[in-house]
Formats: sequence, C-alpha cells, structure tokens
Amino acid sequence: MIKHTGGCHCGRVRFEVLAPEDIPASECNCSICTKSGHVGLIVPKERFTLLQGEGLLSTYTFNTGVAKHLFCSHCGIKSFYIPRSHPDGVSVNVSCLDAGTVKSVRAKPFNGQEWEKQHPSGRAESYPE
Amino acid sequence: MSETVRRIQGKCHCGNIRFTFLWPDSGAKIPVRACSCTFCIKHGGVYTSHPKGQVDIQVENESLLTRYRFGTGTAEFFICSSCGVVPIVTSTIDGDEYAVVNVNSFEGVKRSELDQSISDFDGETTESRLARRKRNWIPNVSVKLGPYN
Repeated sequence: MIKHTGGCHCGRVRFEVLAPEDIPASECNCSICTKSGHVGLIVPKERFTLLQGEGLLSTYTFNTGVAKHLFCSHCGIKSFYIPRSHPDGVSVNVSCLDAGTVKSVRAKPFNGQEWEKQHPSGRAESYPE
Repeated sequence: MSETVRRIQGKCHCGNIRFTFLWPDSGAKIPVRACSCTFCIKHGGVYTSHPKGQVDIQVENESLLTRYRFGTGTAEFFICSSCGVVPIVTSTIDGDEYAVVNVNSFEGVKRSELDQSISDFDGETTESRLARRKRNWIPNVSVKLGPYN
C-alpha cells in the first residue's frame, strides 16, 4: 500500500489516498459515471484524506440520494465522491491521480445500469482488492 | 440538409444543459475522439463533431452554467454547476462560434454506433489549433438561455 495524490483540474481540490500501486478500479456504466467519466478506486474512508478544497465542493444527488456526487465548483471535475455501494467509503477517480505512483490500473466493468441486481442487500459487502 | 440527417439528443445528468445535434450522415458510424488533454482525461471527455453539422444548445438556468477555460483559453467548457457534467465545448474563431459535443452525454445512442480513436493535440500552436477547429468542429451553433419551451 502506497500513498497516491490527486485532485481536480484547477488544483483547488487536492487529496491523498492509500492504495496498491496496481490500482483495482471499477468502470461503471451507470448514467452519472458515464457522463462524468468516473473510473472508481473505492477505499474505506480511513485511507482517504482531503488536503484542500472542502469548501469548494458541490454536491449532486439523484435517485435514492445515498451517493454524494462531489465535484469542484470551479472546474467541475469529480475527483472523488461517496458511492451508494460504500456509503462509509470514498470512490476516487483514477483519472484524477497524479502521475508517478500508479504502476497499473486493473479496471473491472461494473453494471451500474442494473445496480440493484449487483447489490441486492442495498450495498457492497466488502472493498475491492 | 438532406433527409439522412440524424437528430441526436444529449444532456448533462440533471438536464440543465441540453442539446440537439444534427449529424448529416445517418448511415455511417460516428467517429469519436477521446481527448488526452489535462481536462478531458479527468472528465473522461469523448467528443464528436461534423463540419456540416448543427448543434442547438439550451441552458435552462444560466446561473448554473460555468464556462471554464484554461491553457490557450480559446475553448469554453460548458460545465453544469448542478451536476458537474460537461456536455459541450465551444470555441469562438474570427467571430463565429464552433462546437464539439461529448458523446458520453448522448441519449439513446449505442456504443456500437461509435467509432473511437484517441487524439493528442499537445504541441500544436494556437493558430493551427484554431484552424483545425474551423475545419472540423460543428459550425452551426446556437445557444439559447432560459426555460425550455
């Protein structure tokens, strides 16, 4: 497990996250992940630290309202958010990680268009490894 | 335009920014480009345009529209301040407005109808960049601000 850093486009939102150098990522086909280009590294919140920009984050919700879609109010980039599958965790956008620490991205498709079928209990039972 | 024109609807997630893109060649696959600039990498932006196309953009609530610029400052990214999605990019060249549309914001278009490639325009001069946009981007652009009809 190593420390990766990342952020939005304009640099106002910055974070660090502990994750392997070979990143396990989820490529979801749901309406919001498609439109916002989110490729998710989902981690427990203890492994994520927001370094700056908290006051600049806008929150968007829809459907059940469980997921908190956070994006920089200046540049619009959604560098991380609170996912419906892991409401006590964080989904970091792999595309927003700084260059230099990521060895590879192991992207796995997730059928978020049929979200309830993937998570019949209403949430995920574990974190991806 | 001929009768082969295809009408493609698109929008941000919440629907504040909508567009109708008239694609002049309904029989062909739509060539799309995953842009590798610093902004589009983070937003997963994948675009298309047609030099004979038309796009009519409507923004219901103008106060929820951010026009973001960076780098050469010659392109405007239409960001919805409500949901964060960027469905449209425009560029004003010699007084005329040109646009590309983000195919990830299309409604009702299958992935199999798209023909994807990757574009890298790094190192291009501003002059050649604007000339390329003039050749390739959608030249007929209208932007309407205010409630939908």
